[in-house]
Amino acid sequence: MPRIEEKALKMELAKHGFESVAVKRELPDGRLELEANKLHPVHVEGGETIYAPIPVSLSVALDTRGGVKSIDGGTPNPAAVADAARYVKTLRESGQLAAAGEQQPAFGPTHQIERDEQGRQVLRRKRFSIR
Amino acid sequence: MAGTGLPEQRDGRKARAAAAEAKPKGVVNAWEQDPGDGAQPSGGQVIQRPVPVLREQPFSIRIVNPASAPEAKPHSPGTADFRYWTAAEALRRGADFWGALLPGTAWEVGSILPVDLDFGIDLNAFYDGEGLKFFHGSAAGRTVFSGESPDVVCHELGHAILDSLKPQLFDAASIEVAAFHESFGDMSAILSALQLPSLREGVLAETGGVLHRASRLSRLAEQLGWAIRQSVPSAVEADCLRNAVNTFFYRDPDTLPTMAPATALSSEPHSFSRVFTGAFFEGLAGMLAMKDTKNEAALLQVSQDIGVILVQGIRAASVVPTFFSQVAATMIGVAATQFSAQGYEAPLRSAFVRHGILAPSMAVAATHAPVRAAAVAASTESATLPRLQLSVAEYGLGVPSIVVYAAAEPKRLEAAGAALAVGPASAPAQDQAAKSFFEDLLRRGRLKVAKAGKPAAEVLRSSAPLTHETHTHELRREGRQMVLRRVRIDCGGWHR
Repeated sequence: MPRIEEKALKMELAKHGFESVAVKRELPDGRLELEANKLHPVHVEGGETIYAPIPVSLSVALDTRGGVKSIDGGTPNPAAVADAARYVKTLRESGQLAAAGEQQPAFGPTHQIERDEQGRQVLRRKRFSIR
Repeated sequence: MAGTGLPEQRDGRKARAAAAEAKPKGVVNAWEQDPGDGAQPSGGQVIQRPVPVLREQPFSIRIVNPASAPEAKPHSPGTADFRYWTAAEALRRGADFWGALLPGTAWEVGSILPVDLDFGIDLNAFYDGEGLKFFHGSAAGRTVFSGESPDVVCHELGHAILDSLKPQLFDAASIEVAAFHESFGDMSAILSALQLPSLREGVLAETGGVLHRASRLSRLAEQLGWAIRQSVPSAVEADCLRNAVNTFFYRDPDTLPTMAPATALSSEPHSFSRVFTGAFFEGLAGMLAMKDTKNEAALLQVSQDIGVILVQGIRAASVVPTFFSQVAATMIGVAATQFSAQGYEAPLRSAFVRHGILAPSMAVAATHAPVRAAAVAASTESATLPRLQLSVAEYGLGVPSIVVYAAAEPKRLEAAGAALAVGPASAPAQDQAAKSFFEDLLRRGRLKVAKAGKPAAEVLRSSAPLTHETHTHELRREGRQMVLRRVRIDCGGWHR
């Protein structure tokens, strides 16, 4: 797929909540098999809900102009949602998660909770560190 | 012959000639792998290397702090100029190694990766999706610069490389995905180090040609590990930050504590990453062991081949909560199909099985079509312990079942091992216990399969002595059946 079309596809899929979209392959029926992350609510300790980017697989059918005609899949499975909840717990307990609105120290945690334009609390990685 | 060839070939030659002319002449001094040596903060090897050109492709890099490069000549360790060139040399070497495996791949951050060699005070180093950042910190009266360690530099560079190869992983909320990113950083440090002839010769001499031994190659970031150890001894290993020669065995991260001392496994990504890195390193050692001649040229070839296998494995792996096993299975598949002549599949499979990343049956399935499990046949009586017919079709032994002597006497005490969460672990059924024991033998490489059986599932140990056998059990054909028999008791459990 030409790069320009892939870019347009990613922009189109972003409207459906998909991030970090990567094309895996073209299926025999012409659909595209993709991998992406999707923001999905994760219930963590204290009844709090955090939207986390959860890996999903999906396939899309394109119309003749390269637009998205239909999407199959793309819903996080329960195991991936549970994994994300454990991940948030691990980040919190190891001091790697800064709360929403908290000033991010220059050399601080690897992750931060951010508020998006819809007011949702979203988990975002800020960096990888060597330890 | 000059002036011949297609126009694009002539252009290519011109470009290469121009690049060669633009390359600065001379050498710089640099650390080979780390300023430290084992548990000591100093004692690393200084080497001389050609002047690196960071702006070159593949994977152009720019050191933004300090803003200008010092004179390109050999500088003394302990100076800022030496630190600059040691970091630049490691960056160029790592970028060249990965660039050869990822043609056409660009940095996720843009056309050039910016690097800050002294971003502030911390005993740490970052990749933050914008560039690499290194720090300095003090410990026991000594100032340690994380950007001075090629291990640390190539670890961080590895994050940037993996982000370019599979951007989805950066933000994915998954313990194994995050741990794999850390493991890739450590694998990047190991493979980049192996591109140095002096290190290959040194590590082969240090280990007597048996790569799966703790060495300067397996120990990551000795000096930074020392500095952290001065204030938090339990946070790092005894002689480095992390050691790729380890015995960590895969556990569901859900069953692990979120934090633990370095001697134990936790679900914290750096800690958990050691399971995959340990298996990778063991696989690398096993691949070298397959070579007729275990010299530095063979080690270079193996390092490049496992790089190909790793990159293709990552590309094909699905991003799921059990990401380790996905990558491992696809790596085995790549090894089986593209490196069958080299025999890499068996040592890789063994390494992933021995570290529990793949169940033996899954490892076999990665290269062979799944075999339908056979029904368990009726057991026959034994004069000693009860005989049990165990279904083993999934292990690729060439027989649907084997005979084992089951530990099936009644319990004298109602005791069981502790579960990882709360209370005792539930006692397994007889056949389940026997199968666990059998699979454990396979994982630990303690089972020898007689020629009558198909040894697809036999697990090799790269550290096994060459002079004598150390397996404890054999599968022997007795009449029409394959029977599991103990052949020795090995008290050297430490030897793995």
